[in-house]
Amino acid sequence: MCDRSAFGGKQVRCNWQESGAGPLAELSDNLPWQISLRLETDPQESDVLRATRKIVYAAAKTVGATDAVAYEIELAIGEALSNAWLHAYGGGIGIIELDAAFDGTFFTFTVHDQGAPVTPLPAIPRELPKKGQGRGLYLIGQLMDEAEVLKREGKGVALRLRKRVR
Amino acid sequence: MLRFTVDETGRVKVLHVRGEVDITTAPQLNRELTNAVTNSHHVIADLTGVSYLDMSGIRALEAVQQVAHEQGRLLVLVAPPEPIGNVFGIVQLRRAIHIAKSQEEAFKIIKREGPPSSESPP
Repeated sequence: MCDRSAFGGKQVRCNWQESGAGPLAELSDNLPWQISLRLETDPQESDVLRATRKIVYAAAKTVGATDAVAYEIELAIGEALSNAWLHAYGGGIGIIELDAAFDGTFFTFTVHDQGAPVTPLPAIPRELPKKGQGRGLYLIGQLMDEAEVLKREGKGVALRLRKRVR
Repeated sequence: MLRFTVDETGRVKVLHVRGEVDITTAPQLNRELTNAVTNSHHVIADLTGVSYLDMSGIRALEAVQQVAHEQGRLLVLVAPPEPIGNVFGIVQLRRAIHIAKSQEEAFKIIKREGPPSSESPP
């Protein structure tokens, strides 16, 4: 039952039954993995955004993040999704894609929309902006270890966020 | 949806807020608190039951603070627990709104800061 040594071409310790830890926690010690989500926003409410950030919270908890770190990730992703919904689609219908990759230590997220290209490309503010635009991006920058707005060919804006979870 | 319960204590209305304040529910928070500051003397928004609060929640609280200020009322927040309440520090909300650690401290702030106009009905 514990013979998973060939899984992903990597050695995987499999003593979770003995230690009482869950199988996911043990596997994620060694194996990088990723999730890609493609969500369609709704013009009426944002349950889909709420569901997506909760998936991210659960993913962070699964690999052993503390409640506080998982919450910070959820808030940063929630903010990024809200930004995409409001700025790319004016709070209407549109596609947002979220990639979450775990490398054993860091989670790296990319949130991209298919809205009109934004020029000039916004930067993550290092100082708290005055009221108005930019505070959401500032908050994201404070919550994550790394945050950047990526240049994209064609449509939309992409945010790349990174945080150490263990 | 957010859930609200209300306590009236003298000239202070205490709104206990439960739930997640995000882009969907922030307008509800704005509406309920604006009604409270319009119809009461001073308002304590007890956010200890809030389990998520993002920038749309911050903007709603700032909008209510603006209404309270215009009407000569005090708005005092009881902060959510960590890590939810940490956003207040990150965006320096304390510069704009009174923030207390407990309901007891919120009452003390109102006693200390309450404008004299609060002593007579509007």
